[in-house]
Amino acid sequence: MGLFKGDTGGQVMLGLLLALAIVVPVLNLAVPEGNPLHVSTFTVTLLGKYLTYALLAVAVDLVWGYLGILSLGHGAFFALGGYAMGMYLMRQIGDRGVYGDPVLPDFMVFLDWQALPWFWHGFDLFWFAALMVMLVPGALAFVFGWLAFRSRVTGVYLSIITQALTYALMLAFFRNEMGFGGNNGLTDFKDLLGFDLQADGTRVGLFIASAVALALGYIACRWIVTSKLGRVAVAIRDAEARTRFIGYRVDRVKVAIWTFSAMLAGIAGALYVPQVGIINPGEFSPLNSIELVVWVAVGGRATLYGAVIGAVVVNYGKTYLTGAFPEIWLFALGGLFVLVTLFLPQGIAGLFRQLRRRRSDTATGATA
Amino acid sequence: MSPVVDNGRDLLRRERAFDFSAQRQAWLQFKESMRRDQTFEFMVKTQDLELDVSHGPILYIEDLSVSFDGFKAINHLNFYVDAGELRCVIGANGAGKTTMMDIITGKTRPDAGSVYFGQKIDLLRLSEPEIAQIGIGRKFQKPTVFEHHTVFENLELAMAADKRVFSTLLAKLTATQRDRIDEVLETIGLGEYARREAGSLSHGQKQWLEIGMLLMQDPLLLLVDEPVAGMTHQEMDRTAELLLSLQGKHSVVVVEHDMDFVRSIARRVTVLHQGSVLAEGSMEQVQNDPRVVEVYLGE
Repeated sequence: MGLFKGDTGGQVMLGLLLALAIVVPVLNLAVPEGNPLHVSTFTVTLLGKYLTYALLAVAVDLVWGYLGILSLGHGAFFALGGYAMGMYLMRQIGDRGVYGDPVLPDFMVFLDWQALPWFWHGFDLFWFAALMVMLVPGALAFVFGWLAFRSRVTGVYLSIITQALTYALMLAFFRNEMGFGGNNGLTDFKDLLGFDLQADGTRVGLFIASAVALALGYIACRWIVTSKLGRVAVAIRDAEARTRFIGYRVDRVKVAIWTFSAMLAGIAGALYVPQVGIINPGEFSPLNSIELVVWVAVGGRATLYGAVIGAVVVNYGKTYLTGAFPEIWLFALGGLFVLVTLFLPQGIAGLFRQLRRRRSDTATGATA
Repeated sequence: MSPVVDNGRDLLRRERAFDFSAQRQAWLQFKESMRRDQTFEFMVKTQDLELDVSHGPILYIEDLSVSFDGFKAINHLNFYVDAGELRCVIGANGAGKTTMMDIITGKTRPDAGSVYFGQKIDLLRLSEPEIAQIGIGRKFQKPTVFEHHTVFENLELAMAADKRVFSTLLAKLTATQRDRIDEVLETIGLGEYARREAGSLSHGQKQWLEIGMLLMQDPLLLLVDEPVAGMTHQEMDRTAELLLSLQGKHSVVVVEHDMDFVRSIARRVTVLHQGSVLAEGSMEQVQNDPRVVEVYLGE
């Protein structure tokens, strides 16, 4: 298939993903606990969380690797998607909350609100929430991108305003008056589409949904980057003015791809929230967005599958280190970034490519 | 899929998603129409993007001025190029050659004056991509090609086509388009390098590739800024051949420092000095003009 021509890494990644999506549920549900092959529900959820991070990283790689826009605010789109899903989950609690109000979520009762704010209406319907998961980040990205790219804001300046965007949203969401649960965010979810969120089956379902979303997101991005539009994007990354002078509306190409990327990030956030069980303003923290750029850099820019590798590897390291040596995690992250920049400018994906080239070189050398 | 597009008409057909420039245009027109010293917009003729060269010239620059921080880069410049003509522009550094190209292609907006493409198209009202799409191609002073794309892909991207976002996303290369690319590869002599990354080409080859990219746009007017800078003599001869083969089919404006090169291709030469035309005519006339000798050739 043309879509994956020359994308061995992507094929391997999708193959592994498929295997994982089949094997993990079987080992969790069919293999009894106590059996050494049993995969605990905790691990299933952890893996599911990594997969949503991977999807987020793919979204960042699309705009950073192929379009040259270093976004330091993609965490904002992820969090907005997460909040949209969180609002649906809050409405599903119904009268099972601590205060037992049939309509108002607990935090609103606690704040002594009398009625549901207008922007909470409709979130009791799954299809509406699912639409908002994409539309809210998409709309924000569209307006932001339209203003920034039309004014030809590029490079460091753009990175800084994306950072400011996510920081501003964090401050806003911290406020109780915003109506999103303030500091505590949204939590204490009960069920999703009628399935109990604590049940093993639901956890496995969410894991599979994350794997499917990652695969589809990957394929969609791959479709874009192998199209002529993808080649225009790389052209913009390498020589923006030249692209304009051969007749492309650079601002529109940027807005389109940027908005698509933000929607992918929103979907990732929506799958993340039911698995971790909480969404709060901390997700908007600028540090998250920076960390996420590190995943992509570690995995290898402009490869897409490298972003998946980077997200999984760095987050596995984070899970391990924050458990075993909590105080060194940030040093490890910083050190990793420095080492990758110095010794692996193409990331882990670049290392694979180098090894393959060396092997083919020695192979041809032997025959010659 | 999409046949070769008639650039002029294509611009008129631009109802597209996410297009707010139409609204902005409408607002500007509204504001303009409310001015007391103006007649209503519907009473005057709107911008017609059909190229009209019935009077000869394809490019009209009249009384053009632009200054940067008080420095007059272009000073009451009048400059005309005939359809199908190959024109050389010479002048010392700072004479305004590159600034003139910047204004024609929409990169710089002038303080005063008018720039018309044919008799009807007002270039000062169009953006860079729009100017490119109606048929003005530009080669930069420093060769600018897409280094991470192959030579073939560079030409593919430059090719005249529907360049809107969704059409580009769905674009498939047709056999005719492929033939056209091969033809241009032949013209610029880079056939055997089609699959090579453009970044690995030599300086001269990049210059040719960039001229090839201009040709792919099917431009009516080519602006070529210093095409032989840094070239060897053989490369220079090839470039001269290439540019000479274009005249007639295209109008070409070449800005160049190298006098030998200009002598080898020029029919008509324009000498710029301090932002306006100092002399114009055949190479011989220009060379013997005492003012030109004084400010430029005599150095």
